[in-house]
Amino acid sequence: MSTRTWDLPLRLFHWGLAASAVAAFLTGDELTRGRAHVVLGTLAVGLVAFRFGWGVVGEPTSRWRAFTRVHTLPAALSAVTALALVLGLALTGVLVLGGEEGRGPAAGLVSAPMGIAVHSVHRALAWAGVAWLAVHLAGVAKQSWAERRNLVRAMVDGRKGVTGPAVRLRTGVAVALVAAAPLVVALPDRAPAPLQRPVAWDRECGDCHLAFPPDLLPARSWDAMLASEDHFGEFLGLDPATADELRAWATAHGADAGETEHAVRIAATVDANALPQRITTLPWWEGIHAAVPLGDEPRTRCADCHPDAERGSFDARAAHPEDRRET
Amino acid sequence: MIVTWFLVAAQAAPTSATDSLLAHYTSQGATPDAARGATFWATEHAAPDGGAARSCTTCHGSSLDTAGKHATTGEPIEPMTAAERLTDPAKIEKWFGRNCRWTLGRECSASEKADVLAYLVAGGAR
Ligand code: HEC
Ligand code: HEC
Ligand code: HEC
Repeated sequence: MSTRTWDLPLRLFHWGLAASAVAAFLTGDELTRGRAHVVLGTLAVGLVAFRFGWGVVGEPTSRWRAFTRVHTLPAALSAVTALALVLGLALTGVLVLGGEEGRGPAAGLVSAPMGIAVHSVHRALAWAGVAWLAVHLAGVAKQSWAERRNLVRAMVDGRKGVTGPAVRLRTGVAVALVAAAPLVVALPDRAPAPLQRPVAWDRECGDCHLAFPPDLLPARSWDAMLASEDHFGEFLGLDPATADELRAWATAHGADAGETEHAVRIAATVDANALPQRITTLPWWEGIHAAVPLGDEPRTRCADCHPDAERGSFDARAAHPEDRRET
Repeated sequence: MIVTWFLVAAQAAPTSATDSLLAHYTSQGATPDAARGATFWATEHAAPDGGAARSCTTCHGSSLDTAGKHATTGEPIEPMTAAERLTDPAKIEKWFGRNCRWTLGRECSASEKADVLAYLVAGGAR
């Protein structure tokens, strides 16, 4: 037990994973989630991939073959749990990103309701990670006490008892490069695919205000709006063929079709008998913007604050900072 | 020579859209008059909701050369003299239909439309 050493690549892995996991946890809430969170999570996966590789070609004490010999059973289980948690978080994270935001490798493969459902699993795993960390720290403290050695220090300088063989840094670097590969996939932030819409939607609905994406109101609302003679005091005068085309398209992609995260939330919060005509008075909309200083400009000017509104994307992080309108 | 030809050709397209509309209004008894159109453009009408009186300038602004802003939605509106203006008779008719109802509470007559169009054509660089 006390003859074990932690080689340098392993120590870098340990602290790298600790730092990226904690930072990913801190950037994971609704307000700040985004690039940083995704990049940190990907980094954690890369580090775990490194750990698997290092377990095959690394220092003898870091190899999987020596795993149960080097660790006590609880410690071995704990380490495997941590690796599994990271991989579980990464997998669910990719599904959430694809389902809710239409971004990342799973974009287009996962539906919005599925993304929302997986989000709770992702969140549960994150809290399981916090619980794991508490147990881990307690274990380290207890073991340090029992061995009368500072194990945190040992994880920094690598010495725990006897000094081990020289570290094969070159191999470590090679494995680390392989481990960093997932970042190459995650780093470029591909914008969500633009909303495919009939040209008539832009032509007939985009001159007086944003041509609102149809997933912001239920199908029955569009049905009523496009049949009405009076459009908020304006007369649209759509010819019947165009009106039919727009109605067919908008009702097919209404909030109740649940094609995006906000569509699912809108459909879930609109009263079944209600026929809302405004997006900006939906309880969902008012709730989301409760803390946003809306200023004097009309609330319908979504694109003032959401630069990708035209594409049907209202990413919260793109809407910040709140003073976007002044610029 | 060639340059002149280009200039003429470039102006010919928009002119033909407004020309054909003007001819259409004339066939309905209108006598296009830009001065009358200018007055019509700026004349205020009571709003049905008791709000501020409305005119064409409420959204299009006081000058044809500057950008306007939709009175309710705040959406910017290109100047009426912008290059792509008045190039499509159907579009012009569509907006007459929408804007006359909002501003006057009724459709515009053929002679009102003819006057405004004459004013807009004269006000533009063309
Ligand atoms: C002639 C100008 C005009 C056109 C064209 C137009 N709208 Fe509107 N629209 C308005 C006005 C004015 C309002 C009310 C804005 C306000 O009160 O702030 C409005 C409001 C809306 C709202 C409610 C926004 C909110 O949440 O308050 C929706 C939805 C909407 N329009 C959809 C459409 C669709 C769909 C089309 C095309 C078929 C269309 N509009 C075309 C003028 C127009
Ligand atoms: C004055 C600026 C402003 C306007 C105008 C505005 N928003 Fe927002 N919106 C924000 C901000 C800021 C947030 C982020 C709120 C937060 O962080 O809690 C947001 C959040 C959202 C979200 C949630 C995004 C997410 O990733 O969770 C949606 C959807 C949204 N807005 C839609 C709209 C729509 C639709 C309109 C127009 C009808 C609109 N917004 C108009 C500023 C604005
Ligand atoms: C409530 C706001 C509003 C008012 C008032 C208004 N307009 Fe408009 N008008 C618009 C908008 C919006 C457009 C389309 C914007 C664009 O094409 O960029 C438009 C376009 C037009 C066009 C089409 C120009 C082209 O490019 O072919 C004409 C003609 C026109 N308006 C005439 C009038 C006349 C005449 C009046 C007064 C009777 C009037 N407008 C009053 C908002 C208004």
